[in-house]
Amino acid sequence: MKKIKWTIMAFVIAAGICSAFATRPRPVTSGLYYYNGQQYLPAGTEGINFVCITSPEICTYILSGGRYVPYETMATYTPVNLSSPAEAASKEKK
Amino acid sequence: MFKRQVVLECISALLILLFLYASVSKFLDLKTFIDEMNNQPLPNSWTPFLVWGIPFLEIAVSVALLFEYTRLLGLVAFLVIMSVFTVYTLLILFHFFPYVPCSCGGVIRKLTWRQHLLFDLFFDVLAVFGIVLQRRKHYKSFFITNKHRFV
Repeated sequence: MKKIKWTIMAFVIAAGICSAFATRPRPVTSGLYYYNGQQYLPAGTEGINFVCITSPEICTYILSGGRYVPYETMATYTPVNLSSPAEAASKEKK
Repeated sequence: MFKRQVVLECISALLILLFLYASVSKFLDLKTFIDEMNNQPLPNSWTPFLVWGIPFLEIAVSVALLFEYTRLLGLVAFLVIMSVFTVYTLLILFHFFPYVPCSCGGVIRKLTWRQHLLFDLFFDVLAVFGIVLQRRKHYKSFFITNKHRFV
């Protein structure tokens, strides 16, 4: 029983670490961008300059091979200072 | 007894797999994890503590789940942490916070908040089931080893 147990546990540990490596997102080297309906603009830092709010849209893009590729999906780009000034200020103060 | 032990080992293996995957994913892409933490409707001053605290806690719970002596502690700790995540997901879904952030973290980022809630609840139930089995096993082995005292 012990031998089976440790075999399963070793497999689980290896599977956990390997799957984390396998699903690692692509490294962002060029910064994040958002699409304002006309052009792609630098997005800034997530949580400080903008937040991604859950929706079926694309929040941010990365520049890859001269093309803008969706990076953070299923969310809408929302500048923090424009969504609700009072809320943004209170979040920063905290 | 054997069947219960197998079920218990399978539950522990699943819980270890989840927490190990989640913690290693966070460490592998720390910058994104920091951004995602900033994206959550929590004060940004909490970010450094959460960014290091959550993955280390997840690894500690995984280690506790590995060994027989610490398994009950690991199961309870897992349930507590998962319950916190579940309550947080519920608060997000009920619009308790000013906005609904993206749900992030490894491949789990692909889930919506609703799916996230179901995912959390599934693991909560697994942990409860594991605690029940582990406690029964403890009591049974206690009564067997101390049989002479009760007869």
